[in-house]
Amino acid sequence: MTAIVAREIQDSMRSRWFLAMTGVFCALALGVSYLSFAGANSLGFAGFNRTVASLLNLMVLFVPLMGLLIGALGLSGEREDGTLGYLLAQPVGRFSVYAGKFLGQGLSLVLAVGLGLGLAGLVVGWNAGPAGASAFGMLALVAALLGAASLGVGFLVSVRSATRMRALAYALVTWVVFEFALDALSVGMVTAGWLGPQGLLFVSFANPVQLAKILCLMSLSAKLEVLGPSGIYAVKTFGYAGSMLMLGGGLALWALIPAGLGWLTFRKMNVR
Amino acid sequence: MILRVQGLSARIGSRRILDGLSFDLEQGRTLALMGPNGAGKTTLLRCLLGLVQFEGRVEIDGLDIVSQGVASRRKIGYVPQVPAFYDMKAGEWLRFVAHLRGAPSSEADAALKRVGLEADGERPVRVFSGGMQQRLSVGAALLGNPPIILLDEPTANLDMEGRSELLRLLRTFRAEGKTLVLSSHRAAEVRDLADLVLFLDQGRIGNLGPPADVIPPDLVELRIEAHESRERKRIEGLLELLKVASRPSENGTVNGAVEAAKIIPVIEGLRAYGVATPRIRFRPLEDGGAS
Repeated sequence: MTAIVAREIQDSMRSRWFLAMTGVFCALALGVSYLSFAGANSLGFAGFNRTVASLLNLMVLFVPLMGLLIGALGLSGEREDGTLGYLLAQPVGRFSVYAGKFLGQGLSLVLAVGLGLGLAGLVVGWNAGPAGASAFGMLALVAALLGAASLGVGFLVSVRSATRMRALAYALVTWVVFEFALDALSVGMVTAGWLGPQGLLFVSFANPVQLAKILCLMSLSAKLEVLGPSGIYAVKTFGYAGSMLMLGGGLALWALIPAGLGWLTFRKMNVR
Repeated sequence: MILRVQGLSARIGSRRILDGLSFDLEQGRTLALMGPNGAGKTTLLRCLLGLVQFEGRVEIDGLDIVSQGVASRRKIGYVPQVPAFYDMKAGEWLRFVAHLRGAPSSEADAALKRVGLEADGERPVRVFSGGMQQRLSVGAALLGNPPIILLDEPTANLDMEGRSELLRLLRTFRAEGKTLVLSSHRAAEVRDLADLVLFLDQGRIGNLGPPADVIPPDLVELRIEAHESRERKRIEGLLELLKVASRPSENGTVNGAVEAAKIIPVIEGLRAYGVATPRIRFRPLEDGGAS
């Protein structure tokens, strides 16, 4: 399995998406931080808290898109190219191939996000001071978890798709559902009075993007007014630490359950 | 037995591809899988590797490919029809496969040398010609010194030069005592390499035996120039005398088909009856080659 993990990481490092993603995250973090006071006719690096608040909305858009695409195109593409069949024809267990690819791609994604945000964090910290650095660290951690979750969903899409083009299409539809459709549905249900704070929190677990948003907001401030109804309900019911653990656990389950379901298909899949 | 197949049946979707195959293969023998497209040759190879679900049992050197998949596949080298590589240099690719096969990475250099690519180890595989890629794929199949090598139509995408180079390699493997299982459409290659031929017909064993018993003889098409109708009739009579099946004559030619092994006596017979050699044209009907 180590050979497969190492090859995935090596392959990612050489590919353009890794450099692009690292660059995009670094540039976004620096840009957001530098332009945070633009509305007040002032330019310069804002502190971590303000940077996290602005960066959060971009992070929850880009990370799931990358995770879904990388996961969806990975196995389906290799199946089309014949490399997956070749790999499985070697004396390697199917689980080693599946887990090796998931770990390798997951670590590459985490590395790209971590490197991009880490470099930006150094610049922001150097210019604006260390206050709020923990929230920035939390943002990076949540981004990694969200990346793993979307990668897991991507893997499930990948093993269920006959071709890479179908996998790509399903991944994009899933991204739209996570980013917009589920949000719109929740808002609609709340507006119609069908969902209270408890129900809204429950519905949040159906969407890893929503879980990531609430986690980041909680790390920024435990003040109830910024958390929204589901966050307020969570903190009041489970406490701050309990809520963080519950939401973080939910996000981790989003990585494990779809990847696990993907494995159930993969272990019996006919490979050409 | 290095390979034992018992009651092997496989479906892809709702379609039954293989239907109750049973056969054994001894160590050091070469088995060729033949049959029309869709007969199940590639699916059978995939079953032997455990890549597709099947009913029945496949044993590689006494190991069950399903329950002892990793140990079984350690005994199999595999050469796919279309070589599949990651974007790597040739040597790097072989070291990666050596790692997967639990072989020392020093075997990668030996494999490159074995397939005549020792000068190309630092070149990316993507710039290789089809023949070089196929040889690299064969080199990868040798890593870990597996006793059995499966090859899926290994010469299908090669030019004449690549084909003869690959066949030379396969002959040396056979001489070294490797067991080869290859699928092929080319009767001449199969006659040259195989000890046994398994002819698949709609997923069932149509025939299993030595090449001479299973493969129909190569036919050579004869075209003899004869512009006048009287001359055409005379040559048709001659062909009948020489026991050559003739086909309807075209304008200016009389056409016949004869077994390759009998072509020389037939030409000599025609010449003896005054048919000049330049008037006789022939070409193999198989593989589309011309002579």
